[in-house]
Amino acid sequence: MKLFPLRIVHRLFAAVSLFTCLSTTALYGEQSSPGLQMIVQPNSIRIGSFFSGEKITVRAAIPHGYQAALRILGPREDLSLMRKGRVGGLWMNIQEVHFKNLPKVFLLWTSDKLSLMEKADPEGPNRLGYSSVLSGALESERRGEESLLVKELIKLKESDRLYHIFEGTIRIKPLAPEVWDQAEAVLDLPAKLYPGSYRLELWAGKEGKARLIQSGDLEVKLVGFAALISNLAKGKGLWYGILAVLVATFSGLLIGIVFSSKSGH
Amino acid sequence: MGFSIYLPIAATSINVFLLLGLGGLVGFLSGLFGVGGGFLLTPLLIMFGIPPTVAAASDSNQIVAASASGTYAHYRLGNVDFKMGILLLIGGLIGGTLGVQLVKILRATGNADFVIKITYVAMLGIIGGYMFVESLQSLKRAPLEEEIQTASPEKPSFYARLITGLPFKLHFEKSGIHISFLIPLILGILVGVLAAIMGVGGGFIMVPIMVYLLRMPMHVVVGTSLFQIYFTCVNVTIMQASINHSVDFILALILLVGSSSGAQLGSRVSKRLKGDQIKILLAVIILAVMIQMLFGLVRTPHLLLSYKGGH
Repeated sequence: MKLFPLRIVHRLFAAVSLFTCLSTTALYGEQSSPGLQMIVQPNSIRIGSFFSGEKITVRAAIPHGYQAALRILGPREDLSLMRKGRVGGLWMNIQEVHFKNLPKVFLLWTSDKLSLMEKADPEGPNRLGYSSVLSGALESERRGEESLLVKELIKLKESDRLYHIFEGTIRIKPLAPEVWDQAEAVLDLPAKLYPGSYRLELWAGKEGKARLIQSGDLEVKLVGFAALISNLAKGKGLWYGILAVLVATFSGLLIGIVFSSKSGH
Repeated sequence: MGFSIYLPIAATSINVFLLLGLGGLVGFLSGLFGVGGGFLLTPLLIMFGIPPTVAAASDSNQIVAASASGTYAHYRLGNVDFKMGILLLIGGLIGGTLGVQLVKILRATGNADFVIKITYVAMLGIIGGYMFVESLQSLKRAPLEEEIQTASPEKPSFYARLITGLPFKLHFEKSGIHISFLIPLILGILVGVLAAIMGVGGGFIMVPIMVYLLRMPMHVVVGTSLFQIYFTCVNVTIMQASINHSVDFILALILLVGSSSGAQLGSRVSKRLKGDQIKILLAVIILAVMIQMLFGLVRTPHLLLSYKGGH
């Protein structure tokens, strides 16, 4: 083993791993490369009655000198929104606008400015930012307004904290000198989280070109009383409605009786 | 966020004390004025991140509790005219069904939102403005005249002659009036149509109608209005839960604890205030909502897209 210095072995390993990783990702899009571990803690999110958001820690090895990005995409949905416009000088809803196959949640953390990670490859679509998932999502006759409507959709989703880009929030530190770096981030997930299967992606980029390195599923599920209520509401709507009315009526009357007995009526 | 609770249908987390406070405030207004309070609470819930459809449906669910609590409190005080309430309710259900069909026609012609917004602002402006001026004039009158709850002129108006001339008269003991049962039925239909167009329970239209067109005493108006609102909201809650699955029971439960307690306090304060004082306060709130809505129509919106649903 003294034939090759350890440093050269490391470099060879890194080059082979990186080549394998980038080539398989480029070819198959989502396939994760062997040997590159992404550690996610916790690796599933349970929403109980007192859930108010969750912090997950992600650690992953990336090739030395690369920038990193972590992206979470929520379950897909078709969304109908109301478009405001002016009628007779007054602002009001004038048209329904439909978007198809939108991620309910889009959160992106990067180690650097997103524009720096995507600046090359000007002919292809942006692979990391909003346009990678929103391009072509508008289902409307108002194609001329696509850019405006997509921008407004992003503003709406950002105001709900469902879409966000956190630039410069991934820390990168050396793992194996000049071979591997460790990307580490604490992902602060909002309280407004829908149950379902989320996709967590690790991207690495250099010289303005970003590539998907690894991806996996992050399960978000309701548990306990929250799950019971949700299942009842969706599975037995009529009974749930009757129960809600009965509970409301008796609660209202009970509070009324308590108040009247306290006042000596 | 401390003391937060996750709402499974709204799919978000919210502070419990905030919800109790909002429920308490709206319940207080409900007990005081006999309005459901949906026109205030739903926009507030949307402002705090609840999806519009869930906010409107869960609001109806909590109004069931507030109106049950308020009706009970007013019943104990002898302020509920059940006969009148049932007639108005039947009219409201007929009117609501007609109003939904009218909205369908308006939507097909593409003018629904314009008509809804203009109707809303006009109704709020007319009712609030009239109540405010009339109550102010009444308060300025001599103390003996204060107990006369109507804005009666010296000689009977055309409307007064009309309601006394109609057949099928009934005596409404609690309200102290003797009129044809057709009057509350027709007025109930009118309120039902307007409520369906505007997407609200209609309490803030019903109260002035009972005061000025049915000439009922203000305290009986509040109790009777709550009695009628209870049944309207029971219907809306069950429909929303079974068709749209948009009732968040946990949200409604927290709101109703606040609103039922608030309704009790409101009904006590209502008993201590004079009829005109209650009317003028309600008029101020109605006018404030109208101004806020008008401002929203004129000002360039921050976002050009919005979620569907809500009021």
